[in-house]
Amino acid sequence: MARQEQNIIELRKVSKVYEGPIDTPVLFDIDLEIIKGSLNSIIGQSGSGKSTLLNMLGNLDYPTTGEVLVNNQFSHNMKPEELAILRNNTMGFVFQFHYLLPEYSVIENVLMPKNIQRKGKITQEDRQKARELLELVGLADKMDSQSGKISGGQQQRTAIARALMNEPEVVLADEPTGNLDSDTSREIHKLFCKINLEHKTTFIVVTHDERIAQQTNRIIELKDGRIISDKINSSGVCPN
Amino acid sequence: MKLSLIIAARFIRKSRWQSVLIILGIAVGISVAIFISILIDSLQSTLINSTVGNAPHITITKDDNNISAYSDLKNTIQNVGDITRIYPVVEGNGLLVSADKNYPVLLKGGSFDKENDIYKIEDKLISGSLPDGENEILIGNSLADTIGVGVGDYVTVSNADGTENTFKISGIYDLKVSAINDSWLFTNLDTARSSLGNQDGYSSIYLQVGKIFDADKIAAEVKNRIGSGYSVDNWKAQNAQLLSGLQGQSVSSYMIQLFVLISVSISITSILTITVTQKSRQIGILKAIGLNNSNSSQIFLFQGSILGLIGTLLGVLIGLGLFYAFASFAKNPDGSNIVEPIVKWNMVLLMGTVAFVVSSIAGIIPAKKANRLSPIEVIRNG
Repeated sequence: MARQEQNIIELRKVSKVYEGPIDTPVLFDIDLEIIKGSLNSIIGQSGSGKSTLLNMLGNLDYPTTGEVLVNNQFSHNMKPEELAILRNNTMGFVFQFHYLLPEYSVIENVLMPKNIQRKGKITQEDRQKARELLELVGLADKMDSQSGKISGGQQQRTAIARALMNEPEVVLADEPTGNLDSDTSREIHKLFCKINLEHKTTFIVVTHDERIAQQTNRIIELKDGRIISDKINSSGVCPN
Repeated sequence: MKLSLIIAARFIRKSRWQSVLIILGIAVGISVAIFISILIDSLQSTLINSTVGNAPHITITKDDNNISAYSDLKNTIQNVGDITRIYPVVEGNGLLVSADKNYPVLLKGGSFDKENDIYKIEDKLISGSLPDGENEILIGNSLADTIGVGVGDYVTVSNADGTENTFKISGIYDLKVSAINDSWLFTNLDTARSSLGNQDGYSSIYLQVGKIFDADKIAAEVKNRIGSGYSVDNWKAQNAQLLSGLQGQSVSSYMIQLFVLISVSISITSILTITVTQKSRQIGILKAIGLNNSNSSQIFLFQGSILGLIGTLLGVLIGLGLFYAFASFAKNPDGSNIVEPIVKWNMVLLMGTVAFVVSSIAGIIPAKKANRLSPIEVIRNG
């Protein structure tokens, strides 16, 4: 395994129990290190804890026990305001259900992380960057469309452009192609590969699609809240 | 902060009909409060004006009915409070002798110059003119009708001591108060003095003040300055029932305004709380991509403030419009206004400000709800 200073995110003995009338343990003593610039996939059956693990890695949720480090800094005990800045500057998220803001146009959605970072004072350069990202994901002609009035695949590509807007060190994607047809899925994975290669952006992709996992450098398999295999996939090649 | 404001404005704009309904809700509430406030203020002003506008606010009298040191007295009191008019009169009771019946009258002698005449009698003349020479008087329209006299006719008035004087009617007035129109005869000082046997003094000194609700305090100060030997009365003491009625009216008006404001703030709070629920998905996304808790809260505080500001401004306009419409339609049979429109702008400003502040405060509960919302709730629950 890589040396610690190369890790972008590290989980130490992380467990998660969802509290309720009946407590539901989801993750058990997870130790995981994500290396900077790597392209990772997390696979497993439904209910295995993939999304919860991704939420822990993305600091969207707190572990019940254990520690989370981002760039060697403990983040599991940061204040919500500090975590918000960390997520905004360091991470990009692509959710399964894209989660765009329907009140905003496509380009405004892409600009939103920058808007948050700059406290509402975006520049012409930021707009140019958003346009470039939308061109990269093939939505140059949809920039000013309302985000609720474009197709599912287009919404997902908008979400990817949004995730890349602040040039994050790591992109966390939860089933990013789960609702898309196979052609669009392939396009999106090509895009991840391209950005990973060109910008050395770390990717962590949750998927249940074995073929997509095979195109990543590392495949982490979860079962019942535990990592049952963690393989370096030397044959992982991005689709052409 | 700027970002929260921009997002709040976008949320309002994109939920157009909901926003219009909230604004209308606020506007209707505020307009009712403004309308009632102005209406009651104007009714009270009209009532007070008709009761004491053309009457003494403070009356100084002496037991012997003869105030001789008027100049000294005037110098002593003229700087007290905000006295606007000092009007000395010579007055006395008598009987107007008619062929079949005698009528009790009050002969009132004073200056007719507009600066000092508290009755503004020159404006109340319906025929004839002000008394010009000796032994000319003004008579009320109802008394003139009763005894069948007109301008240029003569009437005889018998004093308390039995002496009789004959006066020429120079004009007929209408002070819109039947008790006065039925019995008061206005004349100049010299005529009053000669017919009442009051050689050099005055019977009473009437004062008018700017702040009529301070008349009791000013009267007390006047009494304090001029010392014993004089009686000082004020309109508030003479009209205690009217005042208590007005006070009751004011209290009920304040209560209505208070409840209107409470209901407006409850409705804004409840609608904004629903909006947080509606927008929880968006707030979750924004938080996930880095919007902090305080900015998330500010979105709803700004929403409350923006809706409150627009609703309040609209409400003030509607309230004023309603009132002016009411004032222009509500007429007496003679065409004069039932209510003289008196808009206290500082009161309107105060109510508008209170309404705006209340609307802004109403955003606090939804803002707290937004603050507590965790992005993971949205992401997990879809």
